[in-house]
Amino acid sequence: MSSFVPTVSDPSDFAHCSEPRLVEFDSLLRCHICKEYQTAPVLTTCGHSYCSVCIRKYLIHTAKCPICSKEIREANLQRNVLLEQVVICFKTLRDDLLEKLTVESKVDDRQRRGSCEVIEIDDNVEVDDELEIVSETKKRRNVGQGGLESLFKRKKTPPKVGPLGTCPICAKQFPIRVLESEHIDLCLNTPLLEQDKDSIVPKESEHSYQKLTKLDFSSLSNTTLKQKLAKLELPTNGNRNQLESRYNEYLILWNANCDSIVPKDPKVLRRQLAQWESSLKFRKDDHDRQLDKKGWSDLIKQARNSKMKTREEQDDAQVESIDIMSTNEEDDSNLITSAQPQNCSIQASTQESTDHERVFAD
Amino acid sequence: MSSLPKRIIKETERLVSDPVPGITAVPSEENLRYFNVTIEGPDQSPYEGGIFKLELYLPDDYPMVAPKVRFLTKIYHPNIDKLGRICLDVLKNNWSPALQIRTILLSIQALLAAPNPNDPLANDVAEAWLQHETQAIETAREWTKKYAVLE
Repeated sequence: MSSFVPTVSDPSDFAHCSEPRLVEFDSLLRCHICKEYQTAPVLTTCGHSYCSVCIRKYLIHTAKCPICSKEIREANLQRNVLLEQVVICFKTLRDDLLEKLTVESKVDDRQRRGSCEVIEIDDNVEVDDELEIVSETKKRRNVGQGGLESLFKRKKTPPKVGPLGTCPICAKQFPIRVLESEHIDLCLNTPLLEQDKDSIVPKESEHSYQKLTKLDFSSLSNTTLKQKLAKLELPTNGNRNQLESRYNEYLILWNANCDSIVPKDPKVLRRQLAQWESSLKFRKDDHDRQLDKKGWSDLIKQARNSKMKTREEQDDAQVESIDIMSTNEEDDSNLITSAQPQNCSIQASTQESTDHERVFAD
Repeated sequence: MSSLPKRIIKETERLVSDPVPGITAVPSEENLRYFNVTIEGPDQSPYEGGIFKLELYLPDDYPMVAPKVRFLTKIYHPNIDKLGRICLDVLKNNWSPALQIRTILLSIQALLAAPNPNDPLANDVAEAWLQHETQAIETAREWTKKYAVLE
């Protein structure tokens, strides 16, 4: 398992820092379909938000909101600009935040252990001597746990050489004193568009990407369809089915990309499309192979065997008239059982399928 | 298996590192979309004391479509047939991609605690359940002892 863990971030990353309530905040920014941070989020008419790609793909299956099951339509999805900005902002801050909160929780623990009864102002603890809450009671400290508060609540008159802090708006470093007294106000009052170009939150750029429309394939000749694909710089090889699903997949990728405030270059989308198509091919090959080698031949063998067995049993039954019905029934169920794992989980190992048979043969 | 969606990786990770009480789900080494599942029979149900094996498979379209789940251990239950197939709304029409493996397994555990003979899959069992409930519960208990209790 451990080999692929590092690439995946999860709300639970915050569970062991000094502000475990960030677990909830982190998960709020994620899409309920892919569990990743929302990419180009869109709002449904019922007020829920998903990645544009995810909800568009799901609506092909079912025209319902995954959270509240209300009927929704793709045409009514609206981009959710603020959420996208919040997500981008949080993603940028995440690693730093996590690191700081983890370090501080260690310092905090050490201090708490050292002074159980009375909280004293300890000048040796670097991080905490900045805190307003240091002079307050133990109860207050335990509630706040020093985490977020230690990040944001600084003394109004800090020491002469103040440590640097990062402005939450423009992400630049300033001495805390400057940050608190003047910079944040200044930063907040500067309109978004006039801000520095290395602002943490991307501006809502004017892009020229127009949404694509769904095609009525029934009224479209092969040549016209190929022309349409070529115009989008997409491959035009493959059979009619492939052409149509290629267009449909690209339509989703493209339209979802239009919902983003930082749309990707069409080249990136075409690469994604190619990846999707090769994964489809991979899956198909896999299925075919499995069914050819294992599935079909096994199924046929089993069917033949059990037919033979039934016949033999029927012959036997003429001699001793035991309960034929129940034997037949059992045979049928054996057949169905041995077919079932192939349907349900094509790649179940042989050992497992013998397990199934044993279980159901009882 | 070159491209396992991150969502599946994440769910697997959490199932292993922070398992639901009374439920285990371990992915097969050959196919990370196939899980070996066990569910403990809920307390105060006829399945108490039993450990039921299930198989769970995530189709290619997951999470757009529901996982496929089936009991491998024989069980006497009005909503589970003799092939182990489960009649549960969230596995069919009420599936939503906002649900996950964890929630599905919890629903199945809840189904063991509250059999619903009015929406049967195993007709004979459901009939028995409706007509002679005490007897049916006793049979369920016997089956649990016979098939789901490991020595």
